[in-house]
Amino acid sequence: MIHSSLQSGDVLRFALALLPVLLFLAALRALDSYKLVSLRTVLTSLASGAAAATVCFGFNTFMFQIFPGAQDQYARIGAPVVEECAKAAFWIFLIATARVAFMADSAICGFAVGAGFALVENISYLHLLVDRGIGTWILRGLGTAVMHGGVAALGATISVYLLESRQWRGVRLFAPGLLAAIVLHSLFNQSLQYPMLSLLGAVVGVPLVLGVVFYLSERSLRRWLGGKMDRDIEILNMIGSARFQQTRVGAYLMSLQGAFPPELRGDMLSLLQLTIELSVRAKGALLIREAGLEVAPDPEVESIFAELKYLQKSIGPTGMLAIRPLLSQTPRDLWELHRLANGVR
Amino acid sequence: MTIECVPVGNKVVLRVSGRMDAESASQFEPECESCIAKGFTTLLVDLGEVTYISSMGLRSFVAIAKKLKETGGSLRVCRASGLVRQVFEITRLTQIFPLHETVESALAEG
Repeated sequence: MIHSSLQSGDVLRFALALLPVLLFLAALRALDSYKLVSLRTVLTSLASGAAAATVCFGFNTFMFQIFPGAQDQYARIGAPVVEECAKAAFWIFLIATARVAFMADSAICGFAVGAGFALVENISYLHLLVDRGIGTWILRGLGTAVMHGGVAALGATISVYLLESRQWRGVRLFAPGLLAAIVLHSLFNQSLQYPMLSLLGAVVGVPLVLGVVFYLSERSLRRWLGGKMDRDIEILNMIGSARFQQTRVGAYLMSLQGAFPPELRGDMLSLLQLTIELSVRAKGALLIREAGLEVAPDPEVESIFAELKYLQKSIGPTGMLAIRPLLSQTPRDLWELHRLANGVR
Repeated sequence: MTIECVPVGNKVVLRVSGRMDAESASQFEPECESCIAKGFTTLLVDLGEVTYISSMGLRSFVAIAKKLKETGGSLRVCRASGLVRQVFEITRLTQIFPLHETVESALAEG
């Protein structure tokens, strides 16, 4: 009898500490009508968050030993800096390598990193704080864990917003998001003496902010999808028309006449056409998803990428440099190629 | 862009001509919806005279295909050629509605 009540208590503690953040993550993914993030990326983000938590656990323990009298101050200021930097490593990597390109997918991946972090943190606390009551686990599961996900999601979202609206790069692009995550995390830790306040902040604030982020992201994606797709279709139309040489792209390729042999210029035109076709292909999949329909696997994509690789090799580095002005290579263009190359469905 | 609706039994053929760009594509969806409201469950869209299709046009096709699928009907696209055909094939929207060479072959299918 005693044994069974202990077991049900343990199950409840585990459920309260671990489930809310995972359910929140699942809800975020379900809200994304374009299905921008694959399950694999979500799991990788969770794993990277878990790795960050392990590193931070060691580092924080070391800091507590060095400054035994300043544990409170460290928990309020030092730990948020260390933990947010550790979490940011992965979401910065995702944005810098164009693996995420919209606010919604950056929010999902950022939240997943934070969720992975919170899961490891809460599992360790489940072992360390066995005598704590249900209140502690409600606060840790719904408050702290959701906060970890929420601030990382916000940090990543701010960076993507700056990339999209200001075209910022480097430290300037990531510093504001990281700083916002640190400040919010620190504020949360400082309000822990008022558990209801911090719980409310996480449970109400995070969904509210992420709701706005998703709304803005879908609006931006819809606008980009339509505008960019129409431009791509126009270029395809021009390439196939007799007046191609009079267009800006055609005139530019003609201007390379003296520098490159005809067969190489032919490859350049093929590469341009193939790149645009890939771009249209990726957008077609988004259109289908936008309507809530399933996208079937693309059997041709592998051979198209093989052809693209062949053309790039044939054109060579100098030729690639020469046609660079014609190839649209914004973070979103690169993101599309990543998705197609990885067979995201 | 002009659209002409020709009922053939329980199916309807929509003959579209001109450019299906952002502005004109907005006519297409209500026209299809009106056919669905009249009880037609199979819509055949003849694109033989269409020279251009924009993302808005493609969106309309996907939306109508989805509506028809939900009611057990189907959307069939016929006589698409040149850029229009190329765009349908590249975007792989053909996985939602197949392309037919002629109106007759689209009518003959089920």
